Amino acid sequence: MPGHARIEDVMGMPVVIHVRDEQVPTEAVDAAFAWLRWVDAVFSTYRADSEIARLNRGELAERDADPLVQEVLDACRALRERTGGAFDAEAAARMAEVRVRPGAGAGRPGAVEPAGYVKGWAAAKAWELLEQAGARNALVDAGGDLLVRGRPAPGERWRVGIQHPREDGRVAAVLELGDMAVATSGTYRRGRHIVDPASGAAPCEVVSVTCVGRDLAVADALATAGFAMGRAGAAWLAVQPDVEAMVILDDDTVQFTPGFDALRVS
Amino acid sequence: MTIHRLNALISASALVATPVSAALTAVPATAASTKRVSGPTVNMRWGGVRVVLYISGRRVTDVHAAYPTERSRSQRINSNAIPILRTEVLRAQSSRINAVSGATDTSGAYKRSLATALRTAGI
Repeated sequence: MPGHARIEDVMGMPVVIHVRDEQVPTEAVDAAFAWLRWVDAVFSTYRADSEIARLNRGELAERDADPLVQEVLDACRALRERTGGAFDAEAAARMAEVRVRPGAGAGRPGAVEPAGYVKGWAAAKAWELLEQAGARNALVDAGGDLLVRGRPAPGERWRVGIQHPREDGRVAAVLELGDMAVATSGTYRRGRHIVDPASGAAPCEVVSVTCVGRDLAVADALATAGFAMGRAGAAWLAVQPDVEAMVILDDDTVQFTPGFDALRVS
Repeated sequence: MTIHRLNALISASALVATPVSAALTAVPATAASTKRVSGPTVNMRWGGVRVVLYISGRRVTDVHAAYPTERSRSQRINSNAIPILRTEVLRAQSSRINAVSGATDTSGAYKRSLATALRTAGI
């Protein structure tokens, strides 16, 4: 099989890069992982020395931060507007399990935890590095949020399973995709970890929200937001123009947008 | 949004892979028709995992992994991960899935990603 297949532990999660083009040098994959490590060093709230940690302590002004930090924070604010506050990097920083991290700002007003956007954004930019090195057929999977480009092999389509919410090793659907991104938010293993900023409560009925779209960062943020909205999330996602969605409820009801259904092969 | 039942979604062929035990019995890893192929070394949190695949025709019949045993944590993680990895790889080929999207969490994500790394075309 031509190309590269590599997993590394970056940003606190396993990141898988598959490149299916023979001519792409190993150094391009090295560069993609080096980029992800840089993102971790700059954005992680698990590190006391990241730029986000310094912003959250008030030691660094946003205008003095790296331009990419400003780009991410602008995007997070736009998504907060777009989602009516269901995606909110400031609310994320106030969550009990986040605020104890060394770089989360300990509840300081204005502190941010942009990880819900950064993961997909960083993976999408990792793909851009691979593309600049000549990759045309690839998969980048950042802890279950992923993008595919081109084909896995001539004449084949990328097939992406959606994790079954309760059973390891099972999938709840299989999609056939061209140049698309898939992101899933859910509660199924770690306990409920996403909180609706408006109510402060974990949604109790939705177990998994998957969004498919062109832009992984947007798909990831909208899956997070749709999940935080609870039962209202499905209707909200159904009218978003840039993603197709699947919502699984805890009574095993599954809802999809027509466009999502069209991508399903099982 | 259209509404479906979860269990009604998936056709039997997509989900019900040959059970691992049946696959192994049908084509023992030592059979003459079975090739032993060194797979990728994947860098996991607990160190490098070298994977060996047993392939008969275009089917993976078994997956073995060589992993570091010097740390007790490694052993604990691997004793969980490897049996599930075997199941995942053997299951994945039946529905030819390249990757699985799911919520990020350590144990599930590592199992998925190890399986994803192994899902090379033709397997």
